[in-house]
Amino acid sequence: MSSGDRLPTARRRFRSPAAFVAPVLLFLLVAAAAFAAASFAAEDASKALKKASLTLHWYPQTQFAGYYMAREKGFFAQRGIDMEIRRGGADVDVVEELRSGRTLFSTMFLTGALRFRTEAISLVNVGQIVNRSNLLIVAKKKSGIRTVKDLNGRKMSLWGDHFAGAYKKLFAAKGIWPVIRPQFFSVDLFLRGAVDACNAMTYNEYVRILQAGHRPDDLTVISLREEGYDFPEDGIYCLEATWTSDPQLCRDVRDASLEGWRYAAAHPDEAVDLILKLADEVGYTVNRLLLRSMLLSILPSIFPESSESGVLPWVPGALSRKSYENTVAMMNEVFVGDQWNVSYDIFHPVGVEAAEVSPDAR
Amino acid sequence: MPGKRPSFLGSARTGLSIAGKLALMTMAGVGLIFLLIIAYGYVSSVGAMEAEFRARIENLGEATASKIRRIPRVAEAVTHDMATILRSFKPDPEQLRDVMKSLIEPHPEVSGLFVGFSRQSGDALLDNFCPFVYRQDSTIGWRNLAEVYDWTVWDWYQLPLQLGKPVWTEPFFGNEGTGSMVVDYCVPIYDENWRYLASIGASIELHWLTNVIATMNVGNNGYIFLITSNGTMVSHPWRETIMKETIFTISEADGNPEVWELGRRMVEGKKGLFKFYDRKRDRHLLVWHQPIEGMGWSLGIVFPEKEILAGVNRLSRTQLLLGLAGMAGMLAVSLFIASRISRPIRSLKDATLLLASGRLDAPLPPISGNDEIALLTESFTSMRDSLIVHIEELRTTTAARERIESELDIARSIQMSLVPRTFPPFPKDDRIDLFATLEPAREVGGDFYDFFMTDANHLLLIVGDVSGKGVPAALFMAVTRSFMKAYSQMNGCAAETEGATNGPAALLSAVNDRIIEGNDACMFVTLFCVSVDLRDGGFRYACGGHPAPWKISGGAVTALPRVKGPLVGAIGGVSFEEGAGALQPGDTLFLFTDGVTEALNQREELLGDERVRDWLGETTSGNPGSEVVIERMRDRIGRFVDGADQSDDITMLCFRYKGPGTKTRA
Repeated sequence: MSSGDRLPTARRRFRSPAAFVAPVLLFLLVAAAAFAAASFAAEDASKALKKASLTLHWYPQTQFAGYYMAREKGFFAQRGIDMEIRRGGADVDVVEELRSGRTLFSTMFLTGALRFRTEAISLVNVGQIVNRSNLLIVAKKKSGIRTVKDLNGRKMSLWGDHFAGAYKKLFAAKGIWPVIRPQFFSVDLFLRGAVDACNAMTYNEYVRILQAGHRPDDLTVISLREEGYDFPEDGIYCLEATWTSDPQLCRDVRDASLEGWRYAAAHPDEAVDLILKLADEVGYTVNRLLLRSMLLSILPSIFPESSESGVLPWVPGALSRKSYENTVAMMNEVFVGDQWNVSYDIFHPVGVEAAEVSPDAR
Repeated sequence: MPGKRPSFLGSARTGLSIAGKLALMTMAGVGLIFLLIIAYGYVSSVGAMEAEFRARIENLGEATASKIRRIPRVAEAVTHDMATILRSFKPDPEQLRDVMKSLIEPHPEVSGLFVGFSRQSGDALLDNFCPFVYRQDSTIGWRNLAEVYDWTVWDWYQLPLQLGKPVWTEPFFGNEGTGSMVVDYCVPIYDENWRYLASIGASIELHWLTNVIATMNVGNNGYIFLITSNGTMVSHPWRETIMKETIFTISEADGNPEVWELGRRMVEGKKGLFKFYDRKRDRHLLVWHQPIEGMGWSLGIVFPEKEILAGVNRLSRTQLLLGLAGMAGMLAVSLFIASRISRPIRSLKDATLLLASGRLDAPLPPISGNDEIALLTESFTSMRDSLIVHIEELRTTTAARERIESELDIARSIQMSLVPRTFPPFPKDDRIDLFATLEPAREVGGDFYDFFMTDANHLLLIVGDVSGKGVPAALFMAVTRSFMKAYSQMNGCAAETEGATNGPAALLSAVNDRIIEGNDACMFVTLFCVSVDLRDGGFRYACGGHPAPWKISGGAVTALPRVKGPLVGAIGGVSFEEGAGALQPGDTLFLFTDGVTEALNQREELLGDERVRDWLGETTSGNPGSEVVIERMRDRIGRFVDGADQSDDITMLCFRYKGPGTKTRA
């Protein structure tokens, strides 16, 4: 699951050994980082690294390969950043981490950021990494669901809150009413036949469904992007204060992350090996094939392939004004109560000037 | 060939011997039968082994499944008990805690029991309430999970709620404090208004299940694995796959697509035996899979095919080796027997070769026993003995015949020497042109001719044909000739002296009477004699049963007029008629025996008088000499006969009167 937070209440996943291991790890990481920082400082006072932290919004998996590789390969360090990467998970609330200052940066969905930004938690986007939608509706062909319209009246499991935004817009546009069941951390409801369809990320739940013994030919896969509901997803966020106090740091974090992503794209097996190790440490059950599929699946959403016209659909790392405004419009339509009115320039102060400068194609 | 002895198996030149053929055919036949037996034995052994294996592995599967099954049953029982209590009673939280503790206490396999009340239950007491009891070392702890997290988002709560039936969740990492793998059994319960009341769950630590697996005996190279209804690996000797891999990811990672099919069958709850080839580890595997009833899980028992058939293969290999050794022994025995049989045959063969080369005294192998070889040797011996006898007889007969033939040769040469052979006989006498030829038939015959001057002016020509053939005829011919000569001298045969006591007729009569005297053999001779007066060409002749000669005069060929006269030597005291004629100078008299006219050609046609006459007409045209005439006649006769056997002597005498001439003998 690549979800960020579901509900703003804090909770811990008590069953995970990470309940004990994670704090220990965290302590060790912090201690190591502190020691490293101290030793760096001791060795070379002139090259003092800025300390920063980045909390990912789910457990270690190749959805975050770029960030881990950036740290592993020293891309943060090269930019003078001593970056600590904190894992996410069911027991981690990234918004709370940002709010409480436990972390400086965090990843989350664009729609999540739009939902959770408040006066107290003034989230700004300093880098849009995943620039297109990877949301799917997956159904078994033998259940008779072949198109979106077939979902009318059928049981479907769906993530709640801001994740459901695009889906709700789609159902409204098609005039259908599927019976929605809540989907949380697994697609077991779908696999066991309690629901006829589920929502999935191309790079995660879909792969898990295949790994449970389903063949692509046996599945109906509806891509929200292809249905015309294409909204950016993972981005790097921090509090507005962080941006204003050190914009260069924010840019460097974004650039180092992108560099990490480029490295992961060029060395997928190395990335998979690293993430596999990290997942094992926290007891997150993934396998090599899953991580590899995940990485290869998400990369085209980060680095665009050029279209026939030769123009790139987006600039890596940049959130275009058009995408932002589209997403805001969708959220306002679906979540009628809360209207979003933060301007693009405030929300995405970094602007479109990314490493490769190219005109706004959207 | 010196020094080259063909082996008893045969040689390249002679091909396979009897021994070789016997050995080869025996080996081929026995070998084929043996191979068939082994093949059948192998196939049926394999079949039997496979059936046996299947039965054994089925039993193992059943035993393992039921052993594994026992443990979750406990959790199910506890959960259902809890459900019953909740449905029947409305305990308050304190009571609930005690009840729950007492439920799990007797069951060490159950590590936790919890009730996730629905937020919509409507009961104030149950609002935000999720009681949980768990084992902690030797005690049982208790807490309200609602204080810790939102239980409604977890599968153990959602699945029974959404599915409406009891479920076993996927395994996950565990319990507080233990960190082990755990799986939950959870059931939905509804209140009296059929509203959702709660999801009740019990946890089992997986090591209970995997320990069972560890106790099952799967031999040295077999193993058992366990997967969930999603194919997730729950127990496997490769521990790193547990919980992380599914049977489908393993299939993909190893590049064995058949394992995907196996996974599907297992996930669908099917039971059976599955074979596939593991490409990654290059081995054939057999997997028995059967579902764990009620859990949706499936267990697989894996055996390398080699191991199952190891026994059979070993046996077959041993059988094959034994068989080959047996066949080798058999080969030796059959060669030995074959050589025993063929040895007497070979020595017989060697002996007969010697025999055939003429060494009739070559010893034959000794006869032992009464078998076919002995009988064969016996018949060879008797054949050899009669051969020896026959050859002796042949030699004697051949010698005798050769003796006779040499005597006959002598007879022939005697006969030929009796007739005058010098030509021209009277070279100084220019009144005479005389040539004669006698070609004897194969056997010594009785033809003869003779001519001599009875006086200075009279020439006597005689031709005769003795009856019969061979030495008697030759002897008779000699006697007749002698008498003719002798009596012609006494007779005179001169024309001046008239009277019955001289002349050819009288001569014949005298000779006839003389011959009869000693003629015990009753032979006879045909004779013709002519006495020619050389002064004027007049002649007198007599005939004793002989064909009349031809006279050629001025191109005309006429036979001398017939005169009466019997065969000479048949009856005594007979008289012969005498004829007379005159020759003009250049006229020719042609005397012959019936060997000429009765010559046969290939088609057995007689030459005949007509032909002789015609030929005489042709050959004497141009007045050639007598020798030429005879030559020509001989030529023609030869061409007519054309290679057919000469049955009778061919005798021809040709006399041409040249005229009175200048020479008169004084």
